[in-house]
Amino acid sequence: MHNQEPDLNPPSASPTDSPREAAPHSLPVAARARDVDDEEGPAAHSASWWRMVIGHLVHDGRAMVGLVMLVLVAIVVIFAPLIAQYGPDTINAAALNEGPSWQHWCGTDNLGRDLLSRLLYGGRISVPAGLGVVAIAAGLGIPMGVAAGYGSRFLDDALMRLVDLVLAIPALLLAIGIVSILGPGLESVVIAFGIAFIPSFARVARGTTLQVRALDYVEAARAQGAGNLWTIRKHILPTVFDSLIVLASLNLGSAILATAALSFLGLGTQLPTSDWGTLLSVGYENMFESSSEMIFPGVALVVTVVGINFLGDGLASALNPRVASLRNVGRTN
Amino acid sequence: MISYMVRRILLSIPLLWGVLTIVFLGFHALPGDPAAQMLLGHGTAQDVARLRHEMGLDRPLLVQYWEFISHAAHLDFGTSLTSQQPVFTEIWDRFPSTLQLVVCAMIPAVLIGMGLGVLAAVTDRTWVGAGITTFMLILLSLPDFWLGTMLALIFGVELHWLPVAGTGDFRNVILPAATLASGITAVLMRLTRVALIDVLGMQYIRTARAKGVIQRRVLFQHALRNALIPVVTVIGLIFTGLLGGVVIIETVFAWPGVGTLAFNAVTERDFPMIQGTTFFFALLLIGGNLLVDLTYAFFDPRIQYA
Repeated sequence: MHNQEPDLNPPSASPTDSPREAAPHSLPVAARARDVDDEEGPAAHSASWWRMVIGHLVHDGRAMVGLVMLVLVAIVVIFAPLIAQYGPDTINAAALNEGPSWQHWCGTDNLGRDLLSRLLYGGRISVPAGLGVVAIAAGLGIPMGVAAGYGSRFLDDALMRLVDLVLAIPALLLAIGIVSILGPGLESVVIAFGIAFIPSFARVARGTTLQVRALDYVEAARAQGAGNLWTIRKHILPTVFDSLIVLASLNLGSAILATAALSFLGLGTQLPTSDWGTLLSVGYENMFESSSEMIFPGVALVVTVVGINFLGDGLASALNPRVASLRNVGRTN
Repeated sequence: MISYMVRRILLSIPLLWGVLTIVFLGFHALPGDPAAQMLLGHGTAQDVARLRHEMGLDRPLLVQYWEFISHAAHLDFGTSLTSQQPVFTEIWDRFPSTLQLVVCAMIPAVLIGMGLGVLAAVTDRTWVGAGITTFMLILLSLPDFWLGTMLALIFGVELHWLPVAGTGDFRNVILPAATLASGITAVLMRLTRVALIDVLGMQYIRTARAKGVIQRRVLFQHALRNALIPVVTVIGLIFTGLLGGVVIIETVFAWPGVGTLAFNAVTERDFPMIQGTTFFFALLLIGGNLLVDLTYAFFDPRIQYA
C-alpha cells in the first residue's frame, strides 16, 4: 500500500466531519492503480482485472465457504415447493410440537405444521426482503451521494444534512416509527429500513465521487469539454461501483437481520404468513414446549448471514483491503 | 480548539430541531385521526372532538408545531396515554436500568473487542488471525434477538443457572448484557483490527523496527496509540447499533428500561411516549457523537480545527 494518509475516516454521525476537500477516504485499489499505472483508461474493468479479483476470491477459503453456503441457501429457497414434503400451512393435529424425526426433519410446531417446510417458505420472504432493503437504500443513496459530491456546494450541504438527520435517529427506532405510520407489514418494514440504510450508501458514494472528481484524468476530461453526465457515467460511477458493491454485500446481511428483527417484534410479516423472524417469535412463545422451533429458524438466519458476510469480506479484500474501513460496520438494529 | 468545541456544540442544535420536526410530522402523518385512534374506535363523535380539542389538534398546524417545539425544548412531551405520567418523568425513571445494562455490556465488549482486534492484527495472515476474523464475522452475523433467546433457553430454561427475564440482583443483568455486548465486541474487533493493520504498514513502524526497538514497544507505544485515534472516531457508529439493540434486548428479557418503554409505546399507540422516547434516543445518539468528536479533537494533535 502506498497510501500514507491516516485512513479510516468514518461515516460517523457528526455534522462537521464532512469537509468537501481532502476527505481521506480510500479509493478501491483498481481506481488508484488506474490513476498511477493503468494506461488503458478508467472506464470499464478489463478482463484481466476481473481475473485478478476472481483469482483473489478463489484462493480465499472463507469466501468460498460463504459462497457455497449462499448457493445452498439460494437453491433451497428457490426450489422450496419442490423440496418441501408438506405444505407450510398444513395442520396435522396428530403431530403437535414434535422434535426432529425422519418424517419431520426440524420437528413440528404447536399446530403440527412441518417446521422445515415453514422454514423453506419463510426464506422466500426473508431473503428477498433483505434484497429489497439494499435495493431501496442503494437506489436512493447512490444518486444522492453522487449528486452531493459532484453538484454545487449548496446541494451537497442540503443532501448531507438530510443524511445527518436520518443518522441522528437510531435505525431500528426510525424503522419502527416509519412502520407505525405505514402500518405493520413486510412492505412497510422494507421501505422503512430502505430509508434507514440510505446514509452509508450516500456517504460512501459522496466520498468516492469527491476523490475521483479531483483526479487528474477527470479534470483533463472536463477540460476537454466532457459534460457532467458523461463524466459521471464514464469516470465516477465505475469507481463508485467498486466501493458500493462491497458495501451492498455487507449491508445485505444486516438488512436480512433487521427485517427479521421487526418481524420478530410483530411489526413485519403478519401471521399466518411466516418469515424467519415471525417463526422465531412464535418459537419464543413456545420455548417451554419445544426448543426446535426456536433453534432452526435462527440457524437458517445465521447460515444465510454468515455466508453473506464471509463472501462480502472476501470481496472487500479482493477489491481493496482498505475499503473495510469505509464500511457501515456492524448490525444496524 | 475552544471555538471548534463551541461550533460543534452549536451544530447539534439544528440537528435536534430536525429530529423534533420529523417526530412532529411523523405524528401528523399517521393514517386517520390520532384522537379517534387513541379512543380505539370507542367513544362518540363528541368524545373524539373533545379529545381533539384537549390535544390541540383542532388548531392550525403551524401553531401546533410551535407549541410542540417550545414544549419539547423543555423536555415536555405531555403525559403518557397509558400511565398518565409526564413522559420524561417516566423516561428518567427507566433510564438508570438502561444505563446499567449498557455499562455492563460496554466494559467487557471494549476489553474483549479491542484485545481480540489487536491480537487479530498482530497475527494477520496466520491461522490465528484467520480464526479470530472468522469468529468475528460469525459474531457479527448473529441476530441479537435470537442470541438473547438462545442464551435464555440454554442458561435459563435448560441449566437453570440464570434468570430468564426481569430484574433483581446482578444475575439478571448477565444474559441481556452478554447479548448486547456480542454485537459491540464484533464491531470493535473489526475496527481495531483494520486500524492497527493500517498503522503497522506505515513507514515509521518499519523505521522503529529497523532501529531495533523491541516488538512489544513497537506495538504498544508506536502503533497502538496511533491506531486508537481512528477507532475512537468510529465509536460513534456503535451508539446507533447499541441503542437499537437496547430496544430489542430489553424487550426480549423484559428489562424495565427505556427500550421496553419505547417498544410498548409503539404497540400501545401511546403517541406522546413514542415522540418522547424517539427524541430521547436521538438526544443520546447526538450527545454521544458530540462527546466522541470532542474527545477526538482533544486527543489528536494532528487535526487542526480552525
